Amino acid sequence: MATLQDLENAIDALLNHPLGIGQYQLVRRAEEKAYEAYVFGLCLRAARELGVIPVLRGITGAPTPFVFRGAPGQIHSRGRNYGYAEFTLNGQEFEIHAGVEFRGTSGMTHELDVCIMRASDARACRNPQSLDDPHAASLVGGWECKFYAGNLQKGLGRAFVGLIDDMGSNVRLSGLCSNSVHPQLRDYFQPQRRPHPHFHLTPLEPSNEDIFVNQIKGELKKMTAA
Amino acid sequence: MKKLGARDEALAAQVQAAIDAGKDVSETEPAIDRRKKARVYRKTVPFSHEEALQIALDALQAYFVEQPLFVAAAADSLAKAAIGVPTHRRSGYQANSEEPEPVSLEGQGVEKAVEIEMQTETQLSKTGEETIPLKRMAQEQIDDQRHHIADLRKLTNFAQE
Repeated sequence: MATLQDLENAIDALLNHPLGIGQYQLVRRAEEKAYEAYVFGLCLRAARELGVIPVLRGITGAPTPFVFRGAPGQIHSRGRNYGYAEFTLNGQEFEIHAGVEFRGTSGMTHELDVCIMRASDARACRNPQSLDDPHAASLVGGWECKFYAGNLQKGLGRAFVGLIDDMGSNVRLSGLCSNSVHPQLRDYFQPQRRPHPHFHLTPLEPSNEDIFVNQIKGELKKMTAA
Repeated sequence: MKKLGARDEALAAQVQAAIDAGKDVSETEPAIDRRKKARVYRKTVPFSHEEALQIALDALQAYFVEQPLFVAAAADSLAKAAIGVPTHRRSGYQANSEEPEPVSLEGQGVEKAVEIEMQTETQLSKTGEETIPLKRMAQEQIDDQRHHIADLRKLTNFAQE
């Protein structure tokens, strides 16, 4: 039978580990962004599994280091050498971005944590003679990414449904990605054209990663079929 | 929670918030009239002590296991991509062109340096680091923490005792 001392020892082993409290204090400032980087990586994986090599780019040059935005920003912003990825599938070019703002059909701007968009539109927005936010129609897929140590908040789901609604009817994929879950949000996302609930999307659940990646692969294949 | 709070108040508060969120359950109210169905309604209730322990462990797992795994997975994916190094000085590419910029591909299969921006573009007060590196942790260390969490789950699973 386990004793209180066993329990205290187990807690100490967890907290005192190099990936315990000390690690938490280092990473907590970037926990949300680390999750976005993970989802961005899953989009790269989808491109790779379609047989193409995604290419990492930086807004002002080679992305060394590859910088993820700390806050929503404009696609043409040269404040830092922000990273993005590009790939070509069946002759169609796409870009993968993190933390970029889009102009919705209402004219209101919206940040997408991770997105796949048409590369020609992205280049047009970066053109120094026509700097602009990408328009809603340039979006192929957009995902809200939320790292939570507890239950997700319902408001996040409601807000994202509104965001996707303002992105028009060209969006082929959308989803709320989280390592956590909210049972009611799963139901809320059931109606057609609502974002997909990618709950428990974490390396601890490889089958959920596969669902996310396969959805992207399926849509890109359909979109680029001759 | 006391032990955790003594080490890091913010983390203890996060874990406490996850516990205090409670859970939804379906309550059934028997019908008074036999011709009517029993009424089922949603009710938010606190977690039991055993459930609360598991919720606390889920929260700690999110920070001590999942966070390092996110970084490792992102690092793996970025490593498998190539870096596009612009070659326009050689090709005469115009910056205002909407054609794809010519690049040479380098570094495929090589670990990439990844950073997260801390000082954002619109931030007026520039304090602290501009960016922080997203560093991969050793897989053995992540596995250690997974085992520690599993041990704690066993120790706090009173149903088996």
